[in-house]
Amino acid sequence: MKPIYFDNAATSYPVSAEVTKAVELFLRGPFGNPGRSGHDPAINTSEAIYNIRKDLCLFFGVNSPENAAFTYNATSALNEAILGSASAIAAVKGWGFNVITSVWEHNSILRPLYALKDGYNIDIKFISAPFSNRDAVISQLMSLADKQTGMICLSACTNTTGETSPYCEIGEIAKRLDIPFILDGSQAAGHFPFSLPDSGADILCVPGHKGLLGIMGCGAMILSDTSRIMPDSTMFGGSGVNPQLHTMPQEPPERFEAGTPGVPAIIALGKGIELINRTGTDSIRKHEADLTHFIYDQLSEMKSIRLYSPDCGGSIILFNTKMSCEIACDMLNSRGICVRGGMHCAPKAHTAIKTSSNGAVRISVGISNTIKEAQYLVNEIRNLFE
Amino acid sequence: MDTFYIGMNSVTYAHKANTLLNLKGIKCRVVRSPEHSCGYGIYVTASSRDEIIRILSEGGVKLSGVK
Repeated sequence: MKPIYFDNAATSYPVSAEVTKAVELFLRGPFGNPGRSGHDPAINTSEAIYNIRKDLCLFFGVNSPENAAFTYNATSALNEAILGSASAIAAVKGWGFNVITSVWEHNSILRPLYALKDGYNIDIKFISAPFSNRDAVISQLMSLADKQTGMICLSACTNTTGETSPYCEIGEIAKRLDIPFILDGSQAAGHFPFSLPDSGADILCVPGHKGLLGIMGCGAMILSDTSRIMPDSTMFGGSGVNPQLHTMPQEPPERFEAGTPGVPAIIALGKGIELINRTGTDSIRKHEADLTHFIYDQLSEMKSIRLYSPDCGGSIILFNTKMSCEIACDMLNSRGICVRGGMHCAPKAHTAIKTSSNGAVRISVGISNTIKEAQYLVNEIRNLFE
Repeated sequence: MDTFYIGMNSVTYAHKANTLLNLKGIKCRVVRSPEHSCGYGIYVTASSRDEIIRILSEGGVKLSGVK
């Protein structure tokens, strides 16, 4: 049975035939290790990667292709951005600096920050207001920021409630206060129109395999053209240039790209961006929002369903039935429906919405979902839990 | 017309240079550095070396040497 897939916040599925074909063509060769050798296959592979850097930067409104460093996923991009920036911030403010984040963040932001707290005694301050309450978020940000604030790290869209943060307003404040701003675009990139310059962020971290429609195995850390911060390397190894140096190259992207990159996944990301550009992010946004609204409206009429997401136009709906979320997911799985239960690697978010003891069920809509699938999902939830 | 080598700080800058010059109809080729092991650059065939360097510098390409 073909799965009815509503777990696009974890990874997008199905992979389009065009992406599969692009990866297959690459793997058929000839190819070489990019940035290592001088033979034609290696040079051609590095040229393909350069062109994808360029497309990725253009997609987010960045002019310089070298500002996009490929990583292994969004988590490694966020680790690089957060941990790599810490020394530069400490050089200005000392190791007692603080970082403003929110309770809505994924562990890919929280755990690097906890590591800095444990290792270097930085302070972590949390915005607790729901992202949909934009005024409250801004108000909390203003009250938390002080002269020792060295960094703001937030997501553009939560992976739990699906709420979009007021990241553009936050970016403006970050600029005004001269605080570097690291933005996690994991649940935003590809799902709605998004410009790095408009966001005001210095660094954007994205996965290749979610809204950008690639496959698992690559992410990117993208520096804005006006970034106020240049992270240090946090991974060391071969770069194909200046091997006699004990350090990584100083220039991005090689500064951040130790070792052989995940080329097939980068090829897939390039094709994914091409598909998104052809479809248009406005169209993608409308399609996903229409389906999400439909599911939300239907679930909100069911007495046995408790919704945690506001009807905010995101692509994610979080809910619980009267039974354990994992059992509910398993029952849906028996009907061919793929959704995700648990804590979604966002423990403080679940604490904030009072689901930390049992978690919740997450439906996440993607570009490939259809209204027929949404109707099937809603009917099965009604049949199983009402 | 002369053919000369221009070294870059990375393979990314070599491809950036290649793209910039191709857009202007100037033929070039990305190669491993003939000067020392483990570097990248481009071979360009053009009448003015200074003009090529000006185009690349204005395009934000960081150069490591000109031969």
